[in-house]
Amino acid sequence: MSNKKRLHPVAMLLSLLRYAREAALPLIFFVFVGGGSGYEWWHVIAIGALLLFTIGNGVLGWFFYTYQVENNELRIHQGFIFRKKRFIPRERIQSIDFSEGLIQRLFSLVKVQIETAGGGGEPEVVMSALRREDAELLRSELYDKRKPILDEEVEELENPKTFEYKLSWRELLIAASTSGGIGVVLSFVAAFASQVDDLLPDAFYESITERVMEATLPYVLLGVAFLLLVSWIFSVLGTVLKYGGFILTRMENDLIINRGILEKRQLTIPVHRIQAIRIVEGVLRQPFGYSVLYVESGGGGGKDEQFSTILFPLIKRKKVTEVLAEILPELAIHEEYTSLPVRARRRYFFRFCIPVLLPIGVISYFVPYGAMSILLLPISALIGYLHYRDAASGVKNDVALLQFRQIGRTRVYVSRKKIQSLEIETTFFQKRRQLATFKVSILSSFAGKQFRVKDLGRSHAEELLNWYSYRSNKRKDNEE
Amino acid sequence: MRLEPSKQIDPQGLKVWQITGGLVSLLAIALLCGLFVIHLMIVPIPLWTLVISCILALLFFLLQTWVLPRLRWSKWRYEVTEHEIELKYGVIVVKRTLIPMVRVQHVDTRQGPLLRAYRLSSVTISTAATTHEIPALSNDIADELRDRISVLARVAEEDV
Repeated sequence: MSNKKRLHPVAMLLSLLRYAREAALPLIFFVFVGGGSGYEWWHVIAIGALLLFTIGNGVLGWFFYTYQVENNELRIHQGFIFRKKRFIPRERIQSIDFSEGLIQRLFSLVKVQIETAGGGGEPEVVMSALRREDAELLRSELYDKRKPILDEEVEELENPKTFEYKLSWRELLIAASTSGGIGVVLSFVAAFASQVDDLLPDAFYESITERVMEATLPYVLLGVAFLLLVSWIFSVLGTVLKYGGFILTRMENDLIINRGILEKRQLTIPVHRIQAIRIVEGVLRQPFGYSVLYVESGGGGGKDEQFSTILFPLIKRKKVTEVLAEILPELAIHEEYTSLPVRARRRYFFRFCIPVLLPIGVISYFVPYGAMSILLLPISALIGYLHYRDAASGVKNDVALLQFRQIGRTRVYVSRKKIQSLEIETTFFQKRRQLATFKVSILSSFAGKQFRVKDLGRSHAEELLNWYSYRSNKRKDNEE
Repeated sequence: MRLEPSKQIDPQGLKVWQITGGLVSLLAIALLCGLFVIHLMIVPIPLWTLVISCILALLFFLLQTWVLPRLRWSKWRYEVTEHEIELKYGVIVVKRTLIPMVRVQHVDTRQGPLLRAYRLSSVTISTAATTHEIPALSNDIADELRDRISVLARVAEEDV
């Protein structure tokens, strides 16, 4: 393809909506607060000019945005005043994702996002509206031609699906109700409350404060419980909308994920781009034996998934090995690990107990009944113990396993070939107890990721270093 | 027990670190001067506070120019083989890092004014996820190392 193509005209509408969303708050502020003494003629002109500018910007932006695939590169030209050209070689593309928001679905269009390994949370290319066939064409040009099609491979193409996995409604509901996204919703509510703060009349606040002051403790607790319930329901709804209709397919050398009810997304992850697998058992999920499975890959993943991609929103902890063996046989996961030595336990207790000592002291001194806060100490000790108990690491063949607790229990599998660098770290106190921290760095869409397990036995840490080292592997090969 | 990396960094690097330490401790000395100014011009400060501050500043100065640079320098080890780069460094926290040659994305040498005055360069090795630095090598060794790593990394090319 050598001719330049434009996005679907709906892209103009989308950019307009995006501006509108960004401008909404300032505009509301402007209208309600700035125009306190009634509207004057220049307000109207200012808003009119802003509107005209935005529309003009959208139209010109659309007109001057072109893309083409040429010379094994995706070439994007954009900009009217500031011309920008972006050329991305095909080999550097990490992922191409399709998604359909409400507006895209209305016009049966797709939004295409293309990522390279370059850092930053944002995809390198976002095309907000393409016709589906154009998008498919673009993907096939950027993806499939990468490998030359040999005669043998054509046969395989006839039945390319080797594995498919659907998330059932029951699993979706369990995943949603235990997602712990409640915190996110609560903070959203708080942020929203602080935004509408200025808009409500003072009398409203006064009456509320009065009522709260009058209310007895049970009512306050009831109110809090109600707020939590509402946030939880929103969180469940959010998760269901996002992960509804989840289907994971292994197609030749790609993993393809389709998901979403309102906004449909399709993500494609080439298997050889997968850097690591992360399995997280959330606090609410662990008792039921459920976990979430993430993949770390060079591109893709948003902030809410910590720059990874969810491969299984919910999976029985026991089935992980079996399912992964089927869908990702390349990564031979295993259960071989060494837990921490007993001498590391003390350090974990200290790590969690010492930081709470100061607050406890302060609270005990200044707050009536503050001495009750001493109860934090056994809680911290328990958390410390759990962290100690769950930390482990091990290697088998070419795959390393790191297990540690963040809030939920996390297990990371990474193949030796995907580790960018490996480090063992010994502090003064660790040295005295013959302990070390084990750390691996992998590529991720956001400037690389580190995983670490603290306080391994020193000799075990050295074994891990040797496992990674070419030198010692060479020696082993020679001996065999 | 795995062998330690064998090479040390340039002895001149020690001097650079000592000078840097001296510059950093200028901050402590400036604070001390400020204290004396307050004492003389604004409000008298108890003598023992001044004495303790002087001692602390002196200790800081010694630590920055003498003890720490020496320890740091004596602990630094690196080794570059055909297939990997190994680093070992750190006084209170000892770090041991392995970077396979296939993972190296690019190597830089660079020098600030101080390093340049002593004809030294530091070598920075970047992977797709991390950056590592060998802090002070003589210009010749640094250039040679940079070129060698660059060639070795290219030979071992493997797409991420």
